[in-house]
Amino acid sequence: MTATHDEVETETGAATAVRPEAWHPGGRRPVFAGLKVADFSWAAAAPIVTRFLSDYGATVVRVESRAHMDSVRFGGPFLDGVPDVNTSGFFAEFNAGKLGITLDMGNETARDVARRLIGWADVVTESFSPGVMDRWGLGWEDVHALNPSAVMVSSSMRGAHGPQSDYRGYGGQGAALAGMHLLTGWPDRNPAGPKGAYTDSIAPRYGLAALTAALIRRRRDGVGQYIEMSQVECALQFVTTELLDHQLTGAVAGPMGNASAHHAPHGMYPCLGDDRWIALAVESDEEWRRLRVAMGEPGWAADPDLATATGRLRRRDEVDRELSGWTATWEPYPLLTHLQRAGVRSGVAQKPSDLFDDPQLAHRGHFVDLDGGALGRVGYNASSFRLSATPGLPWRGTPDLGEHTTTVLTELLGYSAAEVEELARAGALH
Amino acid sequence: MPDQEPGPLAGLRVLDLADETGAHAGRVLAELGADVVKVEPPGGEPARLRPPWYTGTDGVRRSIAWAAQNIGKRSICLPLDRPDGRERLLALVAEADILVETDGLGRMAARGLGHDVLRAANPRLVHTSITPYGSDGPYCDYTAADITLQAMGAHAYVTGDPDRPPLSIAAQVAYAHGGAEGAAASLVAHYESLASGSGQHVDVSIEQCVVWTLLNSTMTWQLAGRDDQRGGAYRKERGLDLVTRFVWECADGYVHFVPVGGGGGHARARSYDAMVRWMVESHFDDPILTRYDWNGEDANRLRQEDYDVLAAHIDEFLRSKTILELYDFAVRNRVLLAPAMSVQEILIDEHLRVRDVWRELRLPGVADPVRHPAPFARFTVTPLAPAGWVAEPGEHDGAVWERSSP
Repeated sequence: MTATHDEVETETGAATAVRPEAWHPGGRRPVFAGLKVADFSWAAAAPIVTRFLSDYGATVVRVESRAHMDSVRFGGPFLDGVPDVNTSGFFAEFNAGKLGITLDMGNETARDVARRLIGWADVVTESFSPGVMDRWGLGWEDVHALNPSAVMVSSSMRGAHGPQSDYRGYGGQGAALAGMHLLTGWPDRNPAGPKGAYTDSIAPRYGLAALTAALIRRRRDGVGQYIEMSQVECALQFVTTELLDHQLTGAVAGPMGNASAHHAPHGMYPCLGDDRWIALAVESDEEWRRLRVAMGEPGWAADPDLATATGRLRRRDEVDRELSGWTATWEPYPLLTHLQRAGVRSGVAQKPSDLFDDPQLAHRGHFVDLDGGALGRVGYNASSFRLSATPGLPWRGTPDLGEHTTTVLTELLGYSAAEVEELARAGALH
Repeated sequence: MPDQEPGPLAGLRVLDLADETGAHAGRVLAELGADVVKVEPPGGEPARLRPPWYTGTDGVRRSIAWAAQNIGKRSICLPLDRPDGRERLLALVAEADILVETDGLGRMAARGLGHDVLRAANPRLVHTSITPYGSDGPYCDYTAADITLQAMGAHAYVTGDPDRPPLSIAAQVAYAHGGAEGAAASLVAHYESLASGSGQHVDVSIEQCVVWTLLNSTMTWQLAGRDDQRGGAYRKERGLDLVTRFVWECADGYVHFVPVGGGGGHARARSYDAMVRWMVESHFDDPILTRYDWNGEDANRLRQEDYDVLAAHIDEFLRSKTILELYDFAVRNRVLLAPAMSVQEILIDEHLRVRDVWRELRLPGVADPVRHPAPFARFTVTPLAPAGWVAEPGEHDGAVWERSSP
């Protein structure tokens, strides 16, 4: 799947800053070809939305500032383990394919450039703390006056209004506020919480849906609108069942390891090798029968008491112990094949490194190797969906800080080279 | 009259054939204003029987999980295993914009509803498959559960305690990821169809959705040559050697807080400084608090032994405070600290109440409405008007999409 990128290089003869118009991978124009995005967002959640737009053909201008650096540029991993604003793989993942410019937004002249960028754009995104864009004279009212057809998306942790709208947090804090920490842990220990800034992985899907819905709506009358989103409120969609369950039955979702309140066996079971585990779930009595066959009908599993979910749940610990004794004699991937042949829901607890050898991800072309700035060549995640007629892929690696400032100002916004020099002297492009 | 549109997707027609693994997609589209029609086998789909359940005043046991993922969808029952049922479906396909299913291309074709058949009925149709691994490839027929997908996408491996097995999130989050992605992807393809006049197939892999939740673990493998490790309340992330604490115990619960070791930057420095001021005012002063420029110059060369001394001191302070004290301080002083909220606490959270996040939901056999979290986005021109009901099987039989409708 990396071929598409190489073709771009071949066709144009050189890496080009602005995506070539000739790039029609499926014969039809890419979905967002011609869509112009002024991206004032930062951190992870909102940049992931604009990363999707770029993958599917949009021209995304990502605005950064040296005066107030995107914190993700400070987050590792770094190339060769050396911290540098241009070599964070963390930052790179969310910004591949974008044009990177720097504007010191504290500078009024820079805000004039931002206004011209907004005038150019179809979509304006931002994820500053609520009120920051307004203070710069770049809030929704200003944007709408400058460009009535622009769709603007603001996203923050708790939303733009409300008693806690001043709260600052990343996706780890978001997961805690959305109840996910207490769903992730062992009953006899402190909750662990999900790995990563988890709500940063949830909100972008709702953000892309909301933004695309507004673009669909805009086709009717060409008038833009404003979308305001809270990362925590997106994440609450993920726990709707738990919220309803509490109201209807009084149940309080809490840490339960890998167990299920309704099915057994259900968990992670040891395999041969270093920290190797297989996940397995039996969701019906018929699936239990299949597992028994897969195990070769051992005597302990023939107990008629275990033939029903009630019996298996009551004797869950015993079932887990016996099952672990069996799985522990297997290498994980042969066991996966064996269980799948038997029709048992199962999956290896893959390590991140395993993903690069995963034949299904390879078939899907999940990792796309691309060159980008000082980071060089590295594999980026492709989006989780494939479009049959207008496929999208990241087409270029991450930009260095301010790599495309001059290109964007002269080629997209119509500034002359002399004007750009003047802006630089005024400190606007810092 | 834009104010009366029930969201930006007013007028969009969606056929939802998805089971519990992709039902969330239709719910998202319904919330954005689409007319989503669930197509179920006669009597209702098997997912209506999945736990957890509530028992209504009518004595009937119904699925809470089903209700949660099917809010605002109409329901019709069609026997798709019979030619007349398939014919009826194709007549609806002709009038639809999007069809979402969770069988994948192969099984749909085996049912006589392959992509070519759907496309013949409606060339504008966006046909979306949401499946564990995608419609084709070596794992396309692998059977899965939410926990097995959290495992295959590697999120479980990096979550949980180091001396215990990899840990899943105890909710159907992999399915929710697939559904949310499926909704977004369907709209992306529909937007394209408005320009080209032509639909296409959209193929969502839930495994890939889970891989995306790693955020930077695949980069860590590539750049640092190591796998992120699970560490429970403690983590070793971002390619650093440092083990840092994320979850702390306070007087009456837990908080998520990364005082230092998060990589630095303005927000982290300001957060840490505010907390240090509070600790000093509370006579919890200690030289270790300011011995380094923890979130600045020294952020990427912290030593474990120094971190551990600092963490022990912070731990003692946090244990002396309640969740409310800590969170109130965090909100006012921009401290990157949040309580690990329970479902009860979320339901009574003042901020969510003021933001009018809750909508009433009327469920069959339940006298008083319950509340569900909606809307997930606020639009100025086309505000969302989330539905407050779920449909019984076949409740809208014969009442959808008359040909005379606009």
